[in-house]
Amino acid sequence: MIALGAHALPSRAHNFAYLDEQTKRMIRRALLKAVAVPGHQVPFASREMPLPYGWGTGGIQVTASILGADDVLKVIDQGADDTTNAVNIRRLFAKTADVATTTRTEDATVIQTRHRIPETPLREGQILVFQVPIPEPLRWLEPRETETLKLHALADYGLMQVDLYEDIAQYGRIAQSYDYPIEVHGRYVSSPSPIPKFDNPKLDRNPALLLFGAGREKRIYAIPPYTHVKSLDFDDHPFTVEKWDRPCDLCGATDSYLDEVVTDDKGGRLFCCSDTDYCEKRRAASAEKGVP
Amino acid sequence: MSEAPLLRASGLGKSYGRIEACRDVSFELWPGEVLGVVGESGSGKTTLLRCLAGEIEPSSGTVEFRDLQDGFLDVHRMSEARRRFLMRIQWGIVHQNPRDGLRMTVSAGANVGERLMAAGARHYGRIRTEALQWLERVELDTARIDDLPELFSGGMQQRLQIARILVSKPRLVFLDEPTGGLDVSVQARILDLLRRLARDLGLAVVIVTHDLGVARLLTHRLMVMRQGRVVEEGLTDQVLDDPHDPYTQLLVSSVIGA
Amino acid sequence: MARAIEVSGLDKGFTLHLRGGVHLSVLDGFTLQVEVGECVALRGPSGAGKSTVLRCLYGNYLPDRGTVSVRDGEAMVDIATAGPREILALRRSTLGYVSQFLRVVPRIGALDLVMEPARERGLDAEAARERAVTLLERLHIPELFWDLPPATFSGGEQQRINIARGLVGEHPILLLDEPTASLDAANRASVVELIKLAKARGATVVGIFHDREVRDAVADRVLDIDSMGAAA
Repeated sequence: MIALGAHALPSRAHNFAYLDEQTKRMIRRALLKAVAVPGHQVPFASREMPLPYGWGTGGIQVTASILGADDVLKVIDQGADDTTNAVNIRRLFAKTADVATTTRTEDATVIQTRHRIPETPLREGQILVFQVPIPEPLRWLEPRETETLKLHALADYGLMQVDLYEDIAQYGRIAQSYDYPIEVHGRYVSSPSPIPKFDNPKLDRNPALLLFGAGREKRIYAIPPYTHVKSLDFDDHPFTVEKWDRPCDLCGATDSYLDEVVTDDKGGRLFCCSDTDYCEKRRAASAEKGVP
Repeated sequence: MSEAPLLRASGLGKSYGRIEACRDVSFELWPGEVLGVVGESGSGKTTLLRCLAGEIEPSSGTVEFRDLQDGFLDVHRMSEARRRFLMRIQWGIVHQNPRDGLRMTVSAGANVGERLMAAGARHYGRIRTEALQWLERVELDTARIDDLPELFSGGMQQRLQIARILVSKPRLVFLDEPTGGLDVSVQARILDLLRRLARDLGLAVVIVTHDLGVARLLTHRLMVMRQGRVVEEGLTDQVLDDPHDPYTQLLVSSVIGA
Repeated sequence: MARAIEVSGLDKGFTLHLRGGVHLSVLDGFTLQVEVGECVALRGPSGAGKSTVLRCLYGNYLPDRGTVSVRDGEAMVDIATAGPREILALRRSTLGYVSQFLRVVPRIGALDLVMEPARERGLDAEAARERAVTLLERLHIPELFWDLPPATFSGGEQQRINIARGLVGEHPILLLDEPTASLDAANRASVVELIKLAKARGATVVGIFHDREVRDAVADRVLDIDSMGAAA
């Protein structure tokens, strides 16, 4: 008998975390394969979920498969816990799994994210689940799946390098600013999902387990803890991250990814941390200290 | 004649169902040699070229390539990884339609630099410098290094294909009607380029053409194909000046200035 | 005296498949022996097979029967049965040929054309150029023409380029097919000089000389070929 919390509808018989147990086993098998071969895309039988493709069904299926009754779940979308997407996904799991949820990164055991990695450093034992639209980093260069499979199998990544060359030739620098291609464990070239390149360094030797789910494309991949992850570049055009010339207008942080928010129609704008939890904590800390 | 051949075809054949595209082709090719395969459309010469170049698998026979380290290797029995590596470094194919041999969505420089990058080159400046050198060698305007190939004329695209292949210093080059569809002055320019490069770089070349004038100009030896079989072969000038096979005689007499 | 050329039992005919398989027999049991350093002139009526003999010696025509041996260093090589690579090697090192027709290569200037056979014999660019220049000067080709592709040259000018190309390699065996056909007296004399120079350095020559004066000036021996393609 599954313990139903206050949100659960007693008359519905959803399985724990929505998915049936056989599906979870199938996904866990895929996850194990993915972890065994870091960065390699493992196909899985993506199920129909209560929201359409393009809304994080891959991430949801991964989360559903690994969630246990004792887990504490955080869901963010572009760094924020309070956007529609994040709220709905959190609510889905609260309803069907009756797990505790949180907005505090350090308190979560499982974090599902769309397009950002939290600023607060992760620790061993935590799992970060990424929502991935297009898992194939070569897709835009080579449309044939038959061919990209071979390229990955043969570690034939010249094409990716050609793409970067072309950026430099046309724009003077590598123009890719999000979904920046990475080399995982010295072998597979992967897509880190559309996180800003600012977050790429966080992938390298992260103590947490990083899982990637693409529902529409039906692929799962993983970066195990402490795996070496390198962002592709040229020797004379090394990988660099974005910088802002001002701190967060709300909390004063100079080390986080800032969103630009338009505040009025006279050109007014403010820059604030995209990671709402991070920003909130900093503000709370300075309020405690009495810092204005 | 103590040097070993670079390429060896034995009993090579390719069938598509009941249609025999080419049958029982055997020859050896030495470094520095230019072998021409002539015949009319449908003679099987392009199919033969593709079997030789590792692009399609033959129905019978073998193609062997002499690797510098490992001796003779069966091209179609080796692993796909090995074959791809071979095709990317030691070989090159210049396709009849440049679009089949170029990446149309990236610049000329990227096209020429691709083989270097595929082999692990990671210094943008050096890759670009080498690309510029090759563009120069094939007489393309170096100022157009960042232009997309679709802005190039047919002749320029062909020369770009050639540069793209030669950058990896291959030992063997396959040409499929390299001057087809080009204006005569453009043809002349490309043929001149190919002649010089083959000689200066000591390339072994297999060139498929229906143009006997091209064959006479570029090749040392000639194979005449008809309906999938080799009907005559030998020294180019001998085959063209003293043709024995009825089909060869027909070909030679049909061509102006052969 | 060493033998430079040994042709024996040479039969050469042409089967014209486009004319219903008509067979033209040009040479029938032809024999020829030439010593090293000798200059033999082939003489006979038009169509007797003089050019055919030269072309068989050069490997340009494939004999039906018989042997066509030429000296290559210490050994004799039978061109009739030699493979394409062997023949090409012989043409580079041993056999020089001046044909009646100059095949024009687009975009290559006259000087470069003439230099080629010397380069193929192993000379570096500098030395090949020197030889080529000397020949072109002797054959009165103006310096202005040296960079021009010979396609637009007159018949006589093209013939002189041909001759220069045939002689620049200083091959041990020279095959000359009507070398003075389109030339004026002055140039004919130059060609005679050049052939004599070749002989002086020990070259063996087999030639067809339409002009009697030229023939008398260079030939050590004349071989008549009758219309049956046999040595008269």
